[in-house]
Amino acid sequence: MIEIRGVSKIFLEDKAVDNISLTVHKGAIYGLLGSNGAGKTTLLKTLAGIYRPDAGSVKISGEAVLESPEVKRRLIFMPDSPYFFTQATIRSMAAFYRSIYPGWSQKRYEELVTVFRLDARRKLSRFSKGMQRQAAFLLALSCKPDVLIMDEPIDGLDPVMRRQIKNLLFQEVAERELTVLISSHNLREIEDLCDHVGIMHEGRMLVEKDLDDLKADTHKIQVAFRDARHAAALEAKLQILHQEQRGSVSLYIVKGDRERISQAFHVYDPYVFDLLPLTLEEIFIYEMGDAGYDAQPIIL
Amino acid sequence: MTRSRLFFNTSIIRQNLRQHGWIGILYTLVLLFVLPLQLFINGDRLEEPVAMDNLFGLGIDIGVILIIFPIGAGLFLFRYLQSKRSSDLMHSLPLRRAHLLASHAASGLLLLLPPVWITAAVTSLVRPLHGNMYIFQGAEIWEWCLTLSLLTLFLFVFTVFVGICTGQTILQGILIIILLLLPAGLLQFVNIHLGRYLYGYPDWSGLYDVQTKWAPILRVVDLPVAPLSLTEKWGYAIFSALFLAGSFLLYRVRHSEQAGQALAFTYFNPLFKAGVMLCTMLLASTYFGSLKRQPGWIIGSVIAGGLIGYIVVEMILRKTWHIMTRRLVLEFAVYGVLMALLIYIPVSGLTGYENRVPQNDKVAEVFAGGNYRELTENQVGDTTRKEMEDEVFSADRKYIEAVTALHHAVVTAKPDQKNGPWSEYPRSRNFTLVYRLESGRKLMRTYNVPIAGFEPELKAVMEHEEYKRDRYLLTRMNENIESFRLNNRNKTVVISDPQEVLEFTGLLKREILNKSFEDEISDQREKASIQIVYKPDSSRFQQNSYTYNWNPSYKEMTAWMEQKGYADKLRVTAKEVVSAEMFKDIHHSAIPSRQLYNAHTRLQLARDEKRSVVITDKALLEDVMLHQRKFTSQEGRYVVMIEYKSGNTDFVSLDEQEMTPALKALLP
Repeated sequence: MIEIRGVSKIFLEDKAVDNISLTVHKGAIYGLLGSNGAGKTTLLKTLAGIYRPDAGSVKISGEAVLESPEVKRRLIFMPDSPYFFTQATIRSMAAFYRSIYPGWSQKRYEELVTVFRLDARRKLSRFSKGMQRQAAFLLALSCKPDVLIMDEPIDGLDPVMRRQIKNLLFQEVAERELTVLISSHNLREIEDLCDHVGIMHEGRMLVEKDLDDLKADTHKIQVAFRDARHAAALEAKLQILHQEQRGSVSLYIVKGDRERISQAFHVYDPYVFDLLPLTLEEIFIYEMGDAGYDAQPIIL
Repeated sequence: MTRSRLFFNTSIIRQNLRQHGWIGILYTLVLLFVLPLQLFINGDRLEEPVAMDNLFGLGIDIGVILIIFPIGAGLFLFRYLQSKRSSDLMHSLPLRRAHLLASHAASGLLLLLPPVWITAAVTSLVRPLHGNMYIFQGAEIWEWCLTLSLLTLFLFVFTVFVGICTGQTILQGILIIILLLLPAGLLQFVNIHLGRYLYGYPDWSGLYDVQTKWAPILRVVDLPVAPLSLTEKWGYAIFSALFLAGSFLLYRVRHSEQAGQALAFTYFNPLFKAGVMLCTMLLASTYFGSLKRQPGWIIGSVIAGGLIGYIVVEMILRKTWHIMTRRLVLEFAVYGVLMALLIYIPVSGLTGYENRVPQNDKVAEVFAGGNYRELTENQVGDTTRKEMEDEVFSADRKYIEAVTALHHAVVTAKPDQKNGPWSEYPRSRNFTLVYRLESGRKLMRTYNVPIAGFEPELKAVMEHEEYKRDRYLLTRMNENIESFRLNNRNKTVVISDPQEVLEFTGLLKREILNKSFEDEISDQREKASIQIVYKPDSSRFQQNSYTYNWNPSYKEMTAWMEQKGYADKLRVTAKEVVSAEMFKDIHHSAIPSRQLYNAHTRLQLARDEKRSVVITDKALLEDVMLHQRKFTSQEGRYVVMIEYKSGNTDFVSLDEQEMTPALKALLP
């Protein structure tokens, strides 16, 4: 669906996005993580056809996005702070979007107005930040896009609204295979939403993962061996991301099939053996630590 | 789907009209006030209907309005480019940039042009109504409508073009005004600069014309006196098309992330820096150069001007005032040296401009004299005199030789043009030398030539018939003369008998042609001034307001005047003098330089120092009247203030050798 190949974007002397490639399949929800200034917004705006990449290509369904009305008609970009015309109301913005986006569904719009319980005749400039965000979301979904690109969309929403938006997204994805790209600087905010996650740092993509795979694939093991030599023998057999010694207990983060790992440990019949699931946060911290990065400031 | 195939997107246009419609409404109201309403309001003051050539002079100056609205509309409509958030929204819409630009430009023209057309329509509707005190035709309304439409279009499109090139609305506005004035300003500075430092550089006579033509802001102000010519109309139309095309081309390559940056295209930065530096350097040198003449001041001011310009540009480009880096110093040095060379080389003499004197055999025609401009330039709105330019040139080989010889002498000696002790009028002559070369080129220089030291060269030129023809406009002494009016103080004689007019014309011509160089430079006081009155229908020379003189040295004319009895009628005698006060004009150093030319101050000084004496004796007064010369500021002469019964006061000078012993004896 979305194919980004070798994209770079340079602002004056700074490389905001440095040779990034990524693929998002139809109906996926992709989370783009990274600290402030990592290049997320630049990448999203390049993807939305707002910026012209200095190198590389951005394609949606095989067509370049930039200067292509046909592609952009099926794509909505929601910036981190919503922009409306001065003096506009939801109703007048809706009229504008309706005339621009052929996919606009008046039925969906009316449904959503009741769901969000926003006054469509009130000036948007008098709305609170959270309400403006809801209005932007409402308008975006009413356009019935195939691709929805959202820059830091969860910021400033109360938990109830977050829930609601999440549900709406899941519904759209399930019903008509909406492809979503979300950026955030906080993993916890989007971990229950995304099925894929990419982490950006200083313009580069550090890790890109399928979350379900990740969760099934990485394990935390607490173990106390009968003999210290057992540890050395075991470490040669497994793909160990991280290891810590706490007194007689060793802590391992291990990648691989749960059953196989369990069997490998049981061969040595340790005093203690616990195999625990990891939180996403932990997975990234270990993965990125492995790649030489301190993950804490990057994604949390 | 069909909508997107059109070049204009109606949604965008509708949105723009909804958001900025007030501009169109306000423009309509203002234009209605400026034109149709003025016909009635302003007309109230008139007693009878007035015929109008054009509709721009109806009391309210349209210039400011014409500048504010199109530029304002351009700034508001293209704000979407300059603000990050709106730029993101607009560029994420499923529209090509060409569509975005076309739609926004169309919105602007929809806001700006209908008001002009509505106003024109209303004007033509109310024209026949009672109470309209101005007489004009439908053609004038068309003219008004077309001119305003073109200028509105041009200014709006130019605003759009600058908007594409910049990334800040405020800078866009400032740049538009600067760029619309820049051609005029830069030419002015260059003209002043060259005039000050390039020896012989003639002030560019056509400068004002060129300035207004190329600076639309000035041009707009000039509309009431000079309506747009056909060429100018085409010019504005063509430039509008060019800037529009340029906007489309540049918008295609413009990066949308430049919203908020000073310039949207970084390759404009060096040009911008150099341009601003050049302007500030020239401005500083013009300003300080007019106050302080020492080279130190001038060089210092150029450096300071360049530095200020450079710092300002850096601050604008980097959007901070913390700009100090090591690279900055180096870059400033490079730009500074380049700009300084650009300023210095034209006036350095390296170009050979100052010493260039054409060879005799390369010159086809020549003009020499102080009145080139008056002879060849048109007054605003007058198109009859330009053709004269051909008539003022001379192909006489002897004359050409004399002029080049004078030119050689001047550029060899290079007398100081402004600060010489001789620099004021009676001791120097202003010469414009214009050569038409065989090659078809024109070479023009202006010099202030001191008489002392250049007598032989000046004599050869100034005694030549060709010089006198231009100097005294001899071609205008023709059969169209109706009468001569001669004045001496409050006495007037009119010579109107056709036979006498004919005789006097011949006399005047002869006397002028026979006038010697010595006469030419002497400060003898004329016996009367002579003005020519032309026959009413001789349109071409009716403007000739040149005043000739009846000099004491014109022996033949004097005899004729005596014989006809006119001389007596013009003579002012001692009887008509109320009082006369004489002093020797010395001690100039005691007078502040600003008052040096004020004769009263000198008299006061003489009175204070008890050097002045009142002449009461009629015989002595007659002596004074006989020998009087023009008052000049030369030190050491005798000066007399004469008060006439008519109430006039007059200062005259007396030469040392013409002072009678009796007069000398009067002085202390």
